[in-house]
Amino acid sequence: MKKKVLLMGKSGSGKTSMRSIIFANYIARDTRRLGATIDVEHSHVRFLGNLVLNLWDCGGQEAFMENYFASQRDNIFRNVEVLIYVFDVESRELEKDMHYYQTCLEAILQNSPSAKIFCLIHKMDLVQEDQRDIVFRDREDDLVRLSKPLQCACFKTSIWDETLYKAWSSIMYQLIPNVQELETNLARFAEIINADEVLLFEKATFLVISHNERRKHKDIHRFEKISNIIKQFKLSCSKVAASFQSMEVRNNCFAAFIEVFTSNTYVMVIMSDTSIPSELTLINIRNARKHFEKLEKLDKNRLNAGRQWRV
Amino acid sequence: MEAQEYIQKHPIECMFFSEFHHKQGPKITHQFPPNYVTNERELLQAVQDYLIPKSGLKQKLITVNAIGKKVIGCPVFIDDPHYQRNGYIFNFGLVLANIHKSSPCIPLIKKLSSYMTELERESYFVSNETTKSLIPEILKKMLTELNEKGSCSIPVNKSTTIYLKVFPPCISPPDVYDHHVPILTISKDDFDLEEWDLTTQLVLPFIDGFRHVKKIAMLADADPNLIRICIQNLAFYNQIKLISIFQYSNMYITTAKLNQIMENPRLQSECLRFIAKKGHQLPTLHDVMTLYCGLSPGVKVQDLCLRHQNEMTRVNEQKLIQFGLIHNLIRRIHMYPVKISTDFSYRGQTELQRYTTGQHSAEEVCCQLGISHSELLSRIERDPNIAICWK
Repeated sequence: MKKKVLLMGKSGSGKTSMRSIIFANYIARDTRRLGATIDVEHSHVRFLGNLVLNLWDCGGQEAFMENYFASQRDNIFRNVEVLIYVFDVESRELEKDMHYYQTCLEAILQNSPSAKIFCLIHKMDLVQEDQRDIVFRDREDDLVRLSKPLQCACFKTSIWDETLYKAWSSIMYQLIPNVQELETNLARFAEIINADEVLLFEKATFLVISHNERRKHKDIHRFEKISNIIKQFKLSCSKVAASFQSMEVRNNCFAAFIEVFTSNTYVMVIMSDTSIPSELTLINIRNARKHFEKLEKLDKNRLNAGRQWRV
Repeated sequence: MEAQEYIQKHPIECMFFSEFHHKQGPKITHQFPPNYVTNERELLQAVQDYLIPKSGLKQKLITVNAIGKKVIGCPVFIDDPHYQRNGYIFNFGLVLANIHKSSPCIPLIKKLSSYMTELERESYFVSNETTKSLIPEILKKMLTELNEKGSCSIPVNKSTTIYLKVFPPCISPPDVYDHHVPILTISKDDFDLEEWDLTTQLVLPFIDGFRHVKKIAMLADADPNLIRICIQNLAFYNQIKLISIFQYSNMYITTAKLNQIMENPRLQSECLRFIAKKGHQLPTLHDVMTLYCGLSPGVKVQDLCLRHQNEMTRVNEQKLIQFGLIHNLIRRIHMYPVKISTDFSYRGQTELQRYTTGQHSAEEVCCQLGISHSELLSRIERDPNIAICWK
C-alpha cells in the first residue's frame, strides 16, 4: 500500500533534517551539514513491511512555493494522505508563514480534502524551557482556528530531544492500515504474560506504533524517550559494525525486555513482578512472535488481494 | 570565418548571472540587457529548472532550446559550511537565437564557469554582496566586447582578468592519403617557415606539386603518419591544396569555373606566366583555352599533347594541369577497378582483388601495391572478374 506524504514549510524550517533523522539514520548532529533542498526530493520509505511512504520533501524557498501553488499545483496536492507542515518557532515573519500555510490548505481542500494535517512547531529547543508550553499553546490555538474547516493536530518538536519521536509516531500511527487489530492482539499478549506494559516499535525508525498499558505510569513521555534512547543506541551499535538484537534492564522494581519481534518490529515488555525469571518472559515473547508474524503475513496478503481489484 | 565576422552575424543576445538564494530560491540576479530573460515569462519558466538544477547536473554544460532561443549555462555547486545552507549554487550563462549554432559559445561558457568558480573559492567574489554588485557591469562589458570583437578581456579585480573567445564553426580538415600530391597555393617566398612547427619545416622543401605524400615521407625520412597529419594541417589552413599524381595517362574534364579565365584578367596573366615553357615565348589566352577545352573523358594528357603540338611548344603540360587543379578549373576523373562477380570466396583472393570495392582509385591501388599504372592495367585485363569504372 502506497501513501503520499507531503512535507512542507518555509525554507530552513527543518524538514529535511527531521526526515533524515527518522528515516535515514542521521543523528541530530549530522543534520548540520545538510544543504538546501532543490525543488522536491522524493523518497520511498518502507514501513512495517506492508506500507510504502511516498515522501515529498518540498524545498521551502519562495520561488519553489510560488511554483507549488501555481504551475505544479495539481501534481503536488493530488492524492495526499498526510500533510506535515513545519513552522520554525523562531521565525520573524509569522504573517507570511501563515499566509503560505493557508494557501497550502486551500490547495489541499481542492485536491485532497480528506488528507490528515499535522502542524509541527519546530526548533523548540531554542525557546526557554519554562516558556515552551505557553508558546506552543499560543501557536496551536492560532493554527486550529486558521485551519478551519479543516482539522489539524499540532505538536511541538525539536531534533535534540524525544519530542520529534512523539510527533512522528502519532503521524505514522494514522497511516498504519491495521493498527486496531495490532492493538487488540497486543492487549491479549500483555494480559497472558501479565506484563505491566508492552510496546511495539517499527524496526528501522524505532517509532512506537502500538502499546498496551496495564499498569498506570506517571511519565506520559516515556514512549518517545525510549524511542529516542534506543534509536541512538542502535545507531551507535551499527557504527562499530554490530547490529542491535536485544536488551534486558533489571533492578529490584522491574525488568524490561527489548527484543527483535517480527521481521518489521521490535517489542518491549515491562514486568514489575521481578520473581518471574527472565527465561520465562523470553519464551513467551518467542512464542508470541510466531503469532504476530502470521498476522503480518495475513495483512500483506489481504492488501495484495485488495490491490487486484483496483485498476 | 574569423571570430569577429562570425559573431557580428550571429550575436549573443543576453548574458546573465543566476544563483540560489537561501530564502528566495533560484533567481536571475543580474542580466544584460536588463530584464531580458525575466521579462519573457514563458522563456523563464521553460529554463529555470535547468539554471539551478539538482546536484546531479552540477558542472555540466546545459543548453535549453525553447521559445525561439537557446539558453546555455553551466551550474556550479560549491559545498562549504561557510554558506548559510552549507553550499552555494550559481550559473553564468548566455542567450542566443535558436537558429544559430551553440558550439561557438560553448568553450566560453565553460571557461567563464571555471573563472567564476575560482574567484568564488578564493575570495567569495560571487556570493559576497559588495563584489556581487560589480557583476552587472562585468556582464555588460562581456556582452559588448564579445559581440564587437569576438573576444573579450575584462579585468574583474587586481589579480584576475577574464579572457573569452568565440570559436566559429569550421569544416573538418580533408583526409590525406598516401597518393595525394600537396601543392602550395601561395608562393614559397611568402611562406614564413619560422612560424611553423618542426615537421612542417622538414616537409616543405619536398613539396613541389609533383611528389605524393608517400614519396615525401620517404625522402624526408620521417614517419608517414606524421607527414600525413602535417600535410592535413597545411591543407586546413589553406596553405596547400591536395591534387593527384601527374601521369600522362590521367584524364581530366573542365569545370564551370573555367569561365573565370575569360572574365578575370589577373587570373589570366597569372596563368600564362605559370604554365609558360621555360625559354620560350609566353603562350596566348587562345592556346590556354584550346588546351583546357581539349580535355574530356577518354582524352589522356598524352593524347592532348599529341593533338595540340603547336600550342605545346609554348606550354609546360605539367604546369598546365597543376594550375587548372589549384584553381578548380579542371578536375581529375579517376579510374576505379571494381569486382563484378558475386563470388565471395576469400581463399586465393589476390592482392589486387582486395582493392576492388569501388572505393579505391587506380592511383591509390598503384601506390599501395607499389606498381606502375601499366602493370595495374595488365593485371586488371588478366582478371575477368574486374571491370573499370570512371568517375
